[in-house]
Amino acid sequence: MVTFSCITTCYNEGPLLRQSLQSMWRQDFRDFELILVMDGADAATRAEAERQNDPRLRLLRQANDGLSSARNRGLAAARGDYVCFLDADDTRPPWALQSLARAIDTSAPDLILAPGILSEETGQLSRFYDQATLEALGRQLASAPGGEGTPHYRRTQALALLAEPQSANKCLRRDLLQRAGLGFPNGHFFEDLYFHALSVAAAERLALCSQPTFTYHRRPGARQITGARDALRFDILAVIRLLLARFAPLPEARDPHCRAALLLSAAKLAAWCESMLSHHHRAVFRDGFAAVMALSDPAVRDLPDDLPPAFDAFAPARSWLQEVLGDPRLAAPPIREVSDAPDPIRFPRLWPKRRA
Amino acid sequence: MPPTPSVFHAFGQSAALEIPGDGFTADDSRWRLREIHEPALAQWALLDTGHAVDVGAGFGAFALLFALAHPGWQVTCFEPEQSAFETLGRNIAALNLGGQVRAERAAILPGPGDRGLLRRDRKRPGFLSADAQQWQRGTRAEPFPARSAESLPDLAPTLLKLTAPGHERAILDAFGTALPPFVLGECWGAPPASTPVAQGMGRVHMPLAGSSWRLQDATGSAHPAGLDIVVAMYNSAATIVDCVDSLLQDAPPDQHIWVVDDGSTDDSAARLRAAFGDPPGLSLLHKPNGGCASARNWGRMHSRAAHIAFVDADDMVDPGFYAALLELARYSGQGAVQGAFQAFRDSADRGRVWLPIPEADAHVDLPRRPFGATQVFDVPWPEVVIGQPTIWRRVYRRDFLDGHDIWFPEHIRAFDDQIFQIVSGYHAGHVPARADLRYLYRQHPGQDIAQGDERATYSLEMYRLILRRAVAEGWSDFRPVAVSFFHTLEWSHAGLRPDLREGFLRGAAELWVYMLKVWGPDLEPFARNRALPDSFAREVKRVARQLDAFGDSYVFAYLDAPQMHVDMVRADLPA
Repeated sequence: MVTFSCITTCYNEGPLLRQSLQSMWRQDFRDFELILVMDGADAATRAEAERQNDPRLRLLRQANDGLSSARNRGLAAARGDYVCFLDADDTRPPWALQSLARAIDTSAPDLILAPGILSEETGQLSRFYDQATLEALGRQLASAPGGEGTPHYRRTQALALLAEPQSANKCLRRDLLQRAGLGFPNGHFFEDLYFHALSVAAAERLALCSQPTFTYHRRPGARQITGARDALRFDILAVIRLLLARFAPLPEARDPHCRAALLLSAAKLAAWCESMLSHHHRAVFRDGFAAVMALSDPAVRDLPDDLPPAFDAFAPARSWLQEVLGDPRLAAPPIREVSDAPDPIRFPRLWPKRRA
Repeated sequence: MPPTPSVFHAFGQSAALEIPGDGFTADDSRWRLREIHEPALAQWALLDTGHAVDVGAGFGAFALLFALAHPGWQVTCFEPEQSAFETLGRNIAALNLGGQVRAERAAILPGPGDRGLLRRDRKRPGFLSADAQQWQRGTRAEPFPARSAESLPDLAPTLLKLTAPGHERAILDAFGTALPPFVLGECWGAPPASTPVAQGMGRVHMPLAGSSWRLQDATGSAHPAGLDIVVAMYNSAATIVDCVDSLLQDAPPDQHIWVVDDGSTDDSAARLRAAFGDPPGLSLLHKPNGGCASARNWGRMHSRAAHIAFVDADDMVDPGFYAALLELARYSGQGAVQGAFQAFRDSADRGRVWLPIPEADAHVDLPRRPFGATQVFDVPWPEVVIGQPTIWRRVYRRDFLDGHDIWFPEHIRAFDDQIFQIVSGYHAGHVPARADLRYLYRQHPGQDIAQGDERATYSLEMYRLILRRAVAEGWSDFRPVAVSFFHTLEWSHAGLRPDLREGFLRGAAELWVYMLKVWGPDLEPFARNRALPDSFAREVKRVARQLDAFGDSYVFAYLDAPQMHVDMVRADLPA
């Protein structure tokens, strides 16, 4: 029987944390540990955590070191066969882990993606943003169920790359993470983009859970990262830089659909960050994004033209990205190979050049 | 000729006072009212009634204006000098304050007897000081009527104002821990012990003459007075007892040691308990293993005193090391203060070997000034930034660390104290220091950062984090950080395993280009390429060429590269 390590990090969620934890204690599937990393959590949040008395709870505490560091701390402590993540202000339906366990039992995949529910600030409920993408992925998996090495697997990965880079929508084999040396990029927010894309690339078998396994809550004026309007948004630049550098050498980077999916989902997030930024940072942000492109392998930033209909929803991200890629500063100096030989020694000219 | 009255203004009052003939005393009193007494009283909320005792009242500049401003108070003046005392009496009468102000001709001196020696300054005859060594040149001793300091508490002053050069410490000592609610004055002699003042509930303002430091209360601090010493302990059975034992020698009275057992697998905790039991000033905390940074943060999160220090479990200190630093911290009010340090090595054949003190020459040029019987000096922040990371020989203000959000980053498992040192050094501005007390730092072969493995990558990540902070916090100058960066590169690269060097230099080069792009060409001269292989300079050129078309911008502080992340470097190592 499979076991789960469920990782949650908390900071200043206070009473919201209780709902999140209670949704875990109400799971039909009972064989899991819940690792709660208190990342510089404030007193109200710690009090919620310490009030819990379920023996499956493992509390870890650190001084505030960032979401990536806290998730990595949780991963290092995890003991389950599979790991999954839930934000401290989000919840899971009671069937979530049971549905994931069922998906695992049938195919023992490296990575399971799952749909979710979106709860708007107004209270309006709907399916999570990537429902259509995941439905396309479901059709793809039904027609081409194979994993790495089968003919249509890159297409499957491309669709998975288009899924919303969010931590609650996935469940991973823990030994996959160890094998691939994969974790969250320390020191940065928007860490999910990095983790999602490299998980999809590392996974040799993908599965889709048919049931929604989480509810993502948008909260009015909450101190969520997603509400930030300051330089914190610049973290997306570093994350994309790291992601492109790590992705470039992988075989997926040579597949046009995978590459396009990666670039477009990165561009979508970057364009959203830009639109959220206070105006006095925007020009500099755009410069930074262009610089990230300039620093990356020209092959990985080559955006293919001909894409299947599943990519249609990314048309705005595509035109945003093309605008940046058209920046003349990117075209200017072709990257010359730098020779490893030391600079030639220049002897001082001892005699003036003889005049003719 | 009748003396000309002179008008004094203070505490919202004005009064015409007769002044003694020497000129100096009047100017001196006027200066003291404006620079010391009035600024302090502007902060304090006095009750409507009380008893003010003015030691060294002179002709009454403080006492009489205070009495006018606080008609519900009784004021007792002590003044030994005859002409000043007589002028005081005439001023009381002229202002018609006889019912409120009482004057007695006496000096307040330690010990019994109704007469005592004071030194009269030749150039400033109104200035009478203790018969102590610092005044014995250029002055002469004279007998004066006196009253013992030990009798002052019997007067139950609500406010004590001291102008008693050289006797401040004895007078405050006479009150023990029960100081008057308000203490005001100036201190020329040995600085009084700070603990009763810091622990007490009252208000104290006593600048040290000729210095920007002062004896001051801790009112307004969100933290109780005291020093928390956090000892990060991981498998330190061989050294922990010596470490804690040294911390207990001449410790400050309000010190608390927090030994944080970071998941030790040996019997460190048992040995500690066996040696010291469970005394009130020592706590042992247990946590799952998470590295030195996490243990230090853990101790900080579980303690709450106003001052804090971090000690490693294999080190020791000179007796009284932290007691002395706590005095500097309280008197200076600075975010960080420091002592000296010296490394030692225990070897099987030669016993304990002491290494030379690395700063012996570095700080000799910094101007010294006396602090009691010792000398102190200020280390400017660039020196702190450039210096080797020695976070353990300092005492920090907790609210300084909290306010600037300075922590040990827990995911950084080596070099974490360098970011702490650089950021705290910058924000402290300067660090008051003593060179005569040492933190004793043990060197041993198994030290993390000396291993030459991929953990050197942490140093790159650490400087990236500093670059980003410097931008976000608007640092005035990054050049000292650049110097420190190249020191660290040189040092890390020299000890690095050969297969890791290329990647390390690539990451370093990219980060250096980011620094140049953020701070502009002013930073260029600080590159020390010569200490590194040519490939570093080539790599710098390559990255710079990629970014050729981009102008300088702060956005480069927010970029990153895989060679700065140890887990990415590790993932690429052959299994």
